[in-house]
Amino acid sequence: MSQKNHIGESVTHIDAWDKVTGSAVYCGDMSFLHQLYGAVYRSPFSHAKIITIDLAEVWKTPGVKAVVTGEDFPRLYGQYVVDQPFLAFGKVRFKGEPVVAIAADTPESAAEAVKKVHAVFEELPAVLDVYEAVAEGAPLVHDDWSKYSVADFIRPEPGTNICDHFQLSKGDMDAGFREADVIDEGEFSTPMIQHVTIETHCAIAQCLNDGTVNVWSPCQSPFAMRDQLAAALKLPLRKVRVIASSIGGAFGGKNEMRVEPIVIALAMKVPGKHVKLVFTREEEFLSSVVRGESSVKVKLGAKNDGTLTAVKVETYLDTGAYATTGPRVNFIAGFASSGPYVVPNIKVDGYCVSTTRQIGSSFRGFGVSEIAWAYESQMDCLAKRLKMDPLDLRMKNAVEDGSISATGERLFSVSAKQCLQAVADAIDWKNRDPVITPEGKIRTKGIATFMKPTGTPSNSSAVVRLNDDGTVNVMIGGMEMGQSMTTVIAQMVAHELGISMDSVEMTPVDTEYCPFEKHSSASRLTFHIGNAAVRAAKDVMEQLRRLAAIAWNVDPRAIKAGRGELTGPGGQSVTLPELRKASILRDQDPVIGKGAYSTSDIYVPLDPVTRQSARPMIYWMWGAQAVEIEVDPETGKIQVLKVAAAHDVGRAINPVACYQQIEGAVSMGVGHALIEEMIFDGGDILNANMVDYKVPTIADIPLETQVILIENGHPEGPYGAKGIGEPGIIPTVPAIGNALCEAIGERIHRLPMKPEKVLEALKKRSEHCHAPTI
Amino acid sequence: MLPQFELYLPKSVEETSEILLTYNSNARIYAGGTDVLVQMAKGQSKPEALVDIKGLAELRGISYSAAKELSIGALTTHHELENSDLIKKKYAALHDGVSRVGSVQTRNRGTIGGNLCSALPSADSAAPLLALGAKVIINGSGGERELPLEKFYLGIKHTALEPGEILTKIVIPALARHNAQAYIKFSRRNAMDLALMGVAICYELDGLHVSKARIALTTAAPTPVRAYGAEAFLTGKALTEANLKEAGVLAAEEAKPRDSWRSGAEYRRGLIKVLLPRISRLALERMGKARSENERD
Repeated sequence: MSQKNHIGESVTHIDAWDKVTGSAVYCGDMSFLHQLYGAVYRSPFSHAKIITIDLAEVWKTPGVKAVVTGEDFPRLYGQYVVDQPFLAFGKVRFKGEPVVAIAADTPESAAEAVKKVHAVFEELPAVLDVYEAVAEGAPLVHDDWSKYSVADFIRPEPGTNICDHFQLSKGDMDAGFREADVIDEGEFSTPMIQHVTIETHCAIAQCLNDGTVNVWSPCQSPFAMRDQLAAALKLPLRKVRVIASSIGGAFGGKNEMRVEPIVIALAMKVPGKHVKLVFTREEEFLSSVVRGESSVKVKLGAKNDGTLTAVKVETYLDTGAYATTGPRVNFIAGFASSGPYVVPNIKVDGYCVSTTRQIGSSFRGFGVSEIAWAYESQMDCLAKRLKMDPLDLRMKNAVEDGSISATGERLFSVSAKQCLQAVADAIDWKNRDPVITPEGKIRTKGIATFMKPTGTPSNSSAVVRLNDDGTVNVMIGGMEMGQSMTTVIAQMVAHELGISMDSVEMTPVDTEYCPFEKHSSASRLTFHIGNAAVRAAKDVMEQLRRLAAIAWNVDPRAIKAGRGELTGPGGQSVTLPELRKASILRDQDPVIGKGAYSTSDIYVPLDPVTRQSARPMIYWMWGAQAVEIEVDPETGKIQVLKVAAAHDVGRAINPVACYQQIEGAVSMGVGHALIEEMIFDGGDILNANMVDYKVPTIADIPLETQVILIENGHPEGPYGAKGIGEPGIIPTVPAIGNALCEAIGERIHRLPMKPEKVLEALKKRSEHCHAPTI
Repeated sequence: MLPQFELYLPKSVEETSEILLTYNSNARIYAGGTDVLVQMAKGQSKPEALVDIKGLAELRGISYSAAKELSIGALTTHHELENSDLIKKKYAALHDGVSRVGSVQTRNRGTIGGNLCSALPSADSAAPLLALGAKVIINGSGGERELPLEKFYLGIKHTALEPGEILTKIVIPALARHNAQAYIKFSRRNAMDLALMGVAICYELDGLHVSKARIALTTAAPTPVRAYGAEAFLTGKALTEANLKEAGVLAAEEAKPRDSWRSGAEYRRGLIKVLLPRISRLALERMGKARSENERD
């Protein structure tokens, strides 16, 4: 075969030029003739009854064209629990919740009009902490779960703030702990953090008199948004059109409708007019979505030789005022709660808890980051108790091909041990004794691993439209958000069709004409859309074979088809780049290849109580990271010197894109480990700005990140590929925590590991982790 | 978005002064704009007029006199100072300070005069200038006057500028031939951040002994301040490890850092103890290196 191989080639991202030169079109760049500008009056209280809203002065503000309140538009939406109003009605559930939306001729008029809203509230007791929220007699954020439509995997506890109680059990946990020689437990927590995308949330809406709703927005999952909107507005799916703009960063934060409900409510008041709203950075912190606080209790039981006998995990995830993706995060976190280890006896209780706080939703890692921070810290504590090398303890228990997972699946395509060994070698784990530098800093190493599931069952589709000149337009419904998914899909299509990357055009996503995609999440697009796109490309070749047979007047079965190449029995041949010359298309049926892919056929429904299943997930992501850090014992400051990151990508379709995903995720993880947190005084955020919410700069990220790609081809993946969007972020935090404990002999249980906390911790010594003998 | 205001582009210091007096206290000087425009955009400041002094050429530039006195025009940007070989070589403390202000973009726009006039406790150029013994030259309707920088600061966001006055120049008097100087900024992250604590030092040396010590702190009080007790302690002494440690303790004792959610007062105080000896060692190393380079020349 003479065609170019595109698989495993580090081609430049196809959208790089547009994004670097500024020509990519983001929602904020878009404007329509006579468009109106939205602005929002937000709740000044964490929890309050709305008594009256006086809008008389608002209407007197010059330029105001539409005003809408929750009472005018009492509709609810939600992906998994339909609990969220477009605008608050009855009561407000967090400080910053939209109460009144205003559209005016200019952004200035709209902002001015917001100041003229006179609303009267009756304050209710706030619920600002998960433990307060689950306590007996806590004020209820939502009065009655049964009033809401709830997805079937979710188990709300009636009369409580528990929006979902996830349970998993395997074996006999009590017996497992009785068998153990050593039992070790701890609690680990994470603060509320934000995605801090460069582009804040933004949307434009237009509603027509025939019921059509058009929305432009940088949404992660356009079809999920369309489906939610259609359900909430009681419209057929065909009447809701979501036109996706370029995304300036998402990380899970653009998986929920935030601006869209507000502009739609306004646009319905002024049919035909476009209404645009861009969140300020402050609104982004206040009222977009966050990764809610988490508290995870882990209890491990082990034999003296390190063999794990039992694991008990209890997780509290703050999902804030509305459920959004929270229950799904709880589900995935619950699934991954016992780590990539062989454990015969497991019990997991995961609580997704409603509070009157910012909305906790999906965030790169989807709950597994919080869980891994807990169990990987606890594994190191256990290693100390057992006087074992933390790597040996992990290797002893790590799953391998044939191991039975926590959810009862016989695992395959496993590379936990391979990843651990790779990073141990890269960081020179054998020489890991703490070192004091000439400047008096302490250098230590730490290691951590994880297993993360994708989402199953789910489905994807792709359409490959062949043009007469042998180029193609590829239509999919998943979103590019920096992960280079569109590049990778284009590579697969180019590969199958034997054409150059220049011959593939990825169509912007629009629910009006693109094929269905469930979600751009769970690191699933390379795998799922990839499989669909390969099928669509193969379908193109099959259709061409039929057309060639007609053109050549031969039996189609006599035509040999390869990648982008057909050879007839009489020596006739055609390749896609030479399609015109072959003239087999002329006036014949246009070629439109389609591919669909679903995991519903391999999925075995879970036992509703134990969550055991022979095949609950299409694939698991494996990886490990080892870090070397330097701690300043006088100031408490941590500098990450090196991160070695080994991740099983199945097959690297575009190796540089894989490196970039992992490096970016590691940098983000370093921020979570060391500096990021939303700081509150009651319900008030003190640092809702970029001056005081710190994300790492280039000067803060590890001095060296060494990425090791493990290519343990997955039998069901396209060319063996799996996802790599999220997992790089998961082990960074616990690996740094473990290295810190080595350095100072004390463990910090709540992120971030700020200098002040490190210094405090230095002053005391934990019972579990002893100071290094240096 | 910015509120409405009148914009003036005066051609001279006198004209600037007249405009400021006309508006009483309702006009603000606009140079780099990195503080004033941000405050206006946030609605924290609503001046009736902005007086853009960028056209006043006499307020620009760095000059070094035969008497080894350094003069810096108030409109000189952080970027210009950061890229000046003279500053890098002879005024390392100031170089340390200006190169840690905000981001590259902020340093390209922001001026040293503005950094001082904003009178924030965290101003990164202030502590080095205090340590270098800087004076400020002020011009107004009453003519020109000179103040030691210490006297320029009256409180948070509050300077000794009288109505109609502007800061035109910063002057650093000649330093002893052998001097050790540096500034260290401790912040939550390594770039684009406010100082949780900043320590600047300049030791003028006579042989092994300190003939004059100036130590200044940012974010340690409502204004950038000198640590006089620590200075007095070190004067006449050798810069031994023990003496530096003691100076750190003294400086920490005289500082009045704030207890805030950004950082606890006790932690900040502890930082002074650690950073003062540390930055002193760095300054001495630098001086040693400079000396050996001079000898080679």
